[in-house]
Amino acid sequence: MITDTTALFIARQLASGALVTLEITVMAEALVLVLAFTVALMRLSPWRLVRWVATLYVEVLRGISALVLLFYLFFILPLFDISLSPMATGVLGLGLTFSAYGSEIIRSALVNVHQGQRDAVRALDFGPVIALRRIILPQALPVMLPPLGNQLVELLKTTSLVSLITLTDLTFSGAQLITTLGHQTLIWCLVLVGYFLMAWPLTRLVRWYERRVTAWRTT
Amino acid sequence: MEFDWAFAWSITPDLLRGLLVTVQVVVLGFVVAVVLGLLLAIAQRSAWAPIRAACAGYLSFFRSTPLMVQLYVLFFALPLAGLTLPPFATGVVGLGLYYAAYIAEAFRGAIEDIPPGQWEAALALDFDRATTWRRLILPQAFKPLLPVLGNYLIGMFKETPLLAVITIPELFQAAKQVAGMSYRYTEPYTLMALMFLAISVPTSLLFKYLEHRRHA
Amino acid sequence: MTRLNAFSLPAFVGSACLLASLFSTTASAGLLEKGRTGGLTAGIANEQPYAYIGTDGQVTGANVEILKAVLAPLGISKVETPITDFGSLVPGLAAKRFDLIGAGLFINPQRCKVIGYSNPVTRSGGAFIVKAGNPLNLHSLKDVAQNGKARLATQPGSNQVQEAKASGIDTAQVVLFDKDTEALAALEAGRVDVVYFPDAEIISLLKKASSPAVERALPFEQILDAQGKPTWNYHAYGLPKNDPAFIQAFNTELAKLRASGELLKILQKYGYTENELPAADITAEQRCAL
Repeated sequence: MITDTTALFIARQLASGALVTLEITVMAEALVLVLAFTVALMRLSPWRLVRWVATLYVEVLRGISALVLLFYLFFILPLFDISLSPMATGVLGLGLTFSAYGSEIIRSALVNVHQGQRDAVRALDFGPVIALRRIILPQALPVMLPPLGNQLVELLKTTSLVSLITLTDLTFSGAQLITTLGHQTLIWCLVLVGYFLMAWPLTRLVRWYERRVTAWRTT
Repeated sequence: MEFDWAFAWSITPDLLRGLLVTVQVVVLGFVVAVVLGLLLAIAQRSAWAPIRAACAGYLSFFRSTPLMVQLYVLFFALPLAGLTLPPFATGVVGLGLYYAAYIAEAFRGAIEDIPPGQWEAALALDFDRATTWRRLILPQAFKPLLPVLGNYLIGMFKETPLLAVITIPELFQAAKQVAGMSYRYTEPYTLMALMFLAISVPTSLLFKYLEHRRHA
Repeated sequence: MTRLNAFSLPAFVGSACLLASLFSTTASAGLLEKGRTGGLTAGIANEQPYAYIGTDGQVTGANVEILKAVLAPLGISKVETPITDFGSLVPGLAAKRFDLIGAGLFINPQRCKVIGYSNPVTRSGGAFIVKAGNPLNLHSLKDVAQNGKARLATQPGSNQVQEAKASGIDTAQVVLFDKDTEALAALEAGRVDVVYFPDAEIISLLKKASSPAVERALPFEQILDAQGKPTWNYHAYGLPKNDPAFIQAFNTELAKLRASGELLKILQKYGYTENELPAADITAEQRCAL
């Protein structure tokens, strides 16, 4: 039914698509972490205006979906003479959307560090940067990593949206292969397997880390 | 880029029609997801290992693969196996199956949080399994679940643009159609973004209010 | 609450720099120059027989070959063909995501407002694919409109959508698919009743049909103009609106290609006939002014 050359062609196209998917995921996640930390800290700022701007950022980006934002960036920005490559558009759109959720995760982890710790920091007269770096953050990190890890898996799956702004990720490669070759069921199944192989190990890793971190807690 | 208000006003009815379809799909899909999620959560506690394994497999698969590809498979590949659902039903099923996997996990967490004393009391009082679930466990599990379910409802609403790839005439599809015929992009996509915000922000505020009220 | 504002500023600046580095500046050079030095990009939609990826992974198709034949004498030998979906071709060119459109694109007045066109390359009518035996007896767009319930499949952003609307077909009857192959799959699965595309595309699609249960609806009545004569649609290359020098050079080479008979030879390789060549005096301006 399928010749060797065809099978090789399919494998090559899907593999390069998967590579693009991973590329976008890594770059978007970097952006997410930077933005999420910034916004989380802004939300905890003593200045009301800063807090307000950050809250607006979070509410708006959580209110529109990633796809809406991607389309907006892809079609409307060029009309303002801002020309981003599809890759940059994809990374930016995904980065912005997930940073809104990420900032909430980070913020709640920072806030939930035991009040006693924060009182001690005050009492011992630590500067804010040192306090964050040496006391608060190390304690907040184990709490925020599992949800951030889950978010990374979500991000990986959501990259399939960039196929709609013509980036040749795994989904797009699959769709183009079907146009050329047919074999709908086979190729979509291969695409599903591809995503599964990328997402599942990550999920297990997060679960393992989560269990390790909460091991000291009695259920 | 000028925003043509007259044009925006003229396309609003088309977009609102799409929004109506969006809301319909989400409501039905959510019902399917909650019911299926609950069944999965209960089945996961089953005494029979094959059922537990099947549930774990389902959860693993549906959470590790993108919703969009799942929709493609349901819409294009399933008919080749003989099962052709109309697009609307496909969308509802697709959303339901996907979110059931997440809601099942949420249910599981809530059920596990119920103190074991409750289960023991039910045993002591000689409740059968059905009554235990119906009158004791589930009512207690629902309370902390409300904000989580709310998040998934809003999340589902925002995933509806994906349904355009399976030809459901929802809001995003309507905006794309208008843009495709008129070659003006600012107005349809801006209106679409505003309509999304108009639904998701009040809904999330509503859930926050409900959450606080229960704690009062 | 700890005072954490000292941390926000550096982080803010850092992320702003990161964002700025993602922006690219586009220099506005004429396409002739750009093509001769760096090559051009031509957006295509992976559709047969216009411009598509063959089973060997190479880009081929009537439009691609003709495009290369037209550009070669101008000194432009490097042409890349990024794939996008059909609906994104026109907005893509308008947003300068590629230099020109290499896929088969009809000239219509609305598109003319946004992009420029070369002179027509081929002309075509429309065609239907229906289930074998044409159960709903559909032989024209008017038939579909009169039927009221028949579902017509085509592509978003295509001329076909506008034609359907102009023929009185209700929006609810029109089902849109990003790819023509998906429309055919939908017909085979019984999700739609008729697939409507330009005739060259229909012929190629039918070759890919996996079941004999679909056929081309014949006879087919084209859309009639005000005098009751059948109208043609004209295929041309989408070119940037603001580069008249390039458009001029392009049209000159295209005319030369046609005069030498090369154009017809290339077209015949893909199943076209002489009937699909437009009258020699039809220009893009004429079609845009309709």
